[in-house]
Amino acid sequence: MKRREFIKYSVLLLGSSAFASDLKFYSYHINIIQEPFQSISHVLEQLFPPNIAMPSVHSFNVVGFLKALMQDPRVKNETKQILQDGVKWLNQTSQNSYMKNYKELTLSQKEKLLQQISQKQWGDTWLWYLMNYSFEAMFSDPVYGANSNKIGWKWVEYESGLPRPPKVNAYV
Amino acid sequence: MYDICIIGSGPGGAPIAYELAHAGKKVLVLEKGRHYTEKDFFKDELAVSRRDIYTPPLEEQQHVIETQDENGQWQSVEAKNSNWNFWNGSMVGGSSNLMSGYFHRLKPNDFKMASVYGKIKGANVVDWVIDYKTLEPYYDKVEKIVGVSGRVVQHPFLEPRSSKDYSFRPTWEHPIASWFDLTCKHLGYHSIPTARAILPHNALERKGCSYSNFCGSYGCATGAKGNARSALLDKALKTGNCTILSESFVYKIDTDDKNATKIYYFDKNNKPFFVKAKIFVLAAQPIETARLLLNSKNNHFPRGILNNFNQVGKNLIFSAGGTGEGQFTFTNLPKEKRDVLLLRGAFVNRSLQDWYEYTKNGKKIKGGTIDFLFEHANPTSRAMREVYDKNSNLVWGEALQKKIQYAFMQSRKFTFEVFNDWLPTNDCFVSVDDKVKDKWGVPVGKIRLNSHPHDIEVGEFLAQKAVNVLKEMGAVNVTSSISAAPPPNLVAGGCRFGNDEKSSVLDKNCKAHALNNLYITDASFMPTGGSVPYTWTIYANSFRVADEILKRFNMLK
Repeated sequence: MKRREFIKYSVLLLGSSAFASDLKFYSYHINIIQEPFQSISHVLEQLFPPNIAMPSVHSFNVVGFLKALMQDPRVKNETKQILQDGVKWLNQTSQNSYMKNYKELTLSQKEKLLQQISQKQWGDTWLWYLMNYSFEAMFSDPVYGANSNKIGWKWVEYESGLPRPPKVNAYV
Repeated sequence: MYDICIIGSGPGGAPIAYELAHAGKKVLVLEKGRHYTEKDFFKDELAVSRRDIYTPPLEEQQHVIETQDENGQWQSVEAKNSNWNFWNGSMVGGSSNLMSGYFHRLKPNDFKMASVYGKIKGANVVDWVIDYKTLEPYYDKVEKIVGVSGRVVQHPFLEPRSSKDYSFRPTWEHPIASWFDLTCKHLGYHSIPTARAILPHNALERKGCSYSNFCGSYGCATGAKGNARSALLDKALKTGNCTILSESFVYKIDTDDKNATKIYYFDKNNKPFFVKAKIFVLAAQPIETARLLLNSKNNHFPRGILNNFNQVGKNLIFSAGGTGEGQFTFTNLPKEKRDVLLLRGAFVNRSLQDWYEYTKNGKKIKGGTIDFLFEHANPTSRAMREVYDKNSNLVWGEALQKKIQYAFMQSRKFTFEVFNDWLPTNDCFVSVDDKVKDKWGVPVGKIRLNSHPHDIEVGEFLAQKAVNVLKEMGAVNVTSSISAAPPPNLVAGGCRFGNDEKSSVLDKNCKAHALNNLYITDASFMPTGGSVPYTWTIYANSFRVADEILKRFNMLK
């Protein structure tokens, strides 16, 4: 286990109490959004803004990959829960600071909010997970439905190993 | 009734199957995992490295891990609730399917750690009951039968060899190896071409390496890798004397007072069966081997088979050490060197053993081995190494994009792995947890983890030498990380061999002291691990035990 992963694992073991203490700061109830992937989609635009070197994050189909991940039996339920809970807490924090959900913020507000949550244990963990699975989407074999036309591989001039998995042998 | 029943199909079990089947004995191999072949292996990071498809889901099969907190209290956690995963390759051929195949022999002094280097307080170091000379012919046999490629060069710790050189020339070497050689020459170190259990060309009825740039962690699609299935079991099957039952989990061994009588297993439909054989060989890897013995209690062995002196599971060891890396930045290099660094597929194949033994304050210290290689090509894990800045803050946006592009397109990481002895202690062992059960209702193995502080000292000494080499080669951002975290794929001990049945489980031929027909041939027998990866030694010892078993059959004729 890599050191960084070990630290993160320790955080997760303590997760419930650490998260709870952060949440105590939120004084009022807000409506929990029904579609976490809408917010995730907005966060992804902030994490991976389009520029000359990198294609739009949506062209990788990261959100589609994350939706499939929620059905993946090899991904721990705790992980799926963290991904979803993070969206709730992101929007709670957004409501606290701006009285709006994250997707309604301006670009600079979105950036400021990500900076803010990244300093919290839950925020650091959630963003780390989001990046982790976003990179899986960008760099997994296109047979899994993301990284179409190998755009992730092309972005970083990566050459896959051979043989690549045919659809029939693809995992899940 | 089978002549011999082998539990586990990795490098501990396969040589027995190979030798006995070729000698005309009826052999049964039981393997918990699936029977994959070359055509089933793809370079699929998501499946192989991210979702661990070659190991059981932890919800179904797991371990309990005990570690000490800062107050010295032992805390246990179920693997499914943590990031611990002590499964390796659960498949026919075992984890040798997924190895990188860095093959090193033990040195003569590895067999006499206690008498050469002296006792260390808090460590249960003992000499082996065989010497290097006894094992050497079998190391040689592995070179020829499993297929080890390499080139012998003189260096201070070159072990005695019966063959002048390897039977197979080295695999395609990356040009960076020559930079490494020049640097070592300048520093006065002895650069060693690392032997690999990889065929550079078609041989031994297998195809040569395709240099796909994905070796370690991945199954080999050509059969060039000397895994236990491609190299041995496929040939054992061809004799017509060997049967392999995959997806068959052995959960109990039965005995009378002198012999193992039958083993019980669940097949892939979870249906229970039993098997009788004249001789049983246990090679399920050290943690599962100990677990099976401890779960197999009867009137003759109320504490578990072979455990009347409480030795089963004790003195579990891993490979101590750690890793490090440096980065070659393309912008600082002339074009020809940049082109060299961009070359994919070829192997670095270099190690240093100048400090396999060194002196500190006038005392002889056992050191270890440093292997050098390029960063693994898996793109997701490479990208994830870039998400934190130097102050451990997450980065994203343009800053992250630039870091990733630099890591992938403007630099290449050169890494090293340090291997030194994990000293056996009283607090590193396997037991079973009666409260936590696997999907078949069988108590899982409980692993108590403890490393001796001496392991870290030696690891850091070696890592510093490697750091110096990387800096001298011109690498930047050079770092190392030596830790007490055990590598789950480098595990040994738990059923030591020895002369005294009160302090060991097996005799010098790896036969149980307490039973006439039960052998253990995975890495469990090792009282100390040496300062190299274990696979070559496991193979060699298993071939040695196979000869002993054959002698027994011949005597019965």
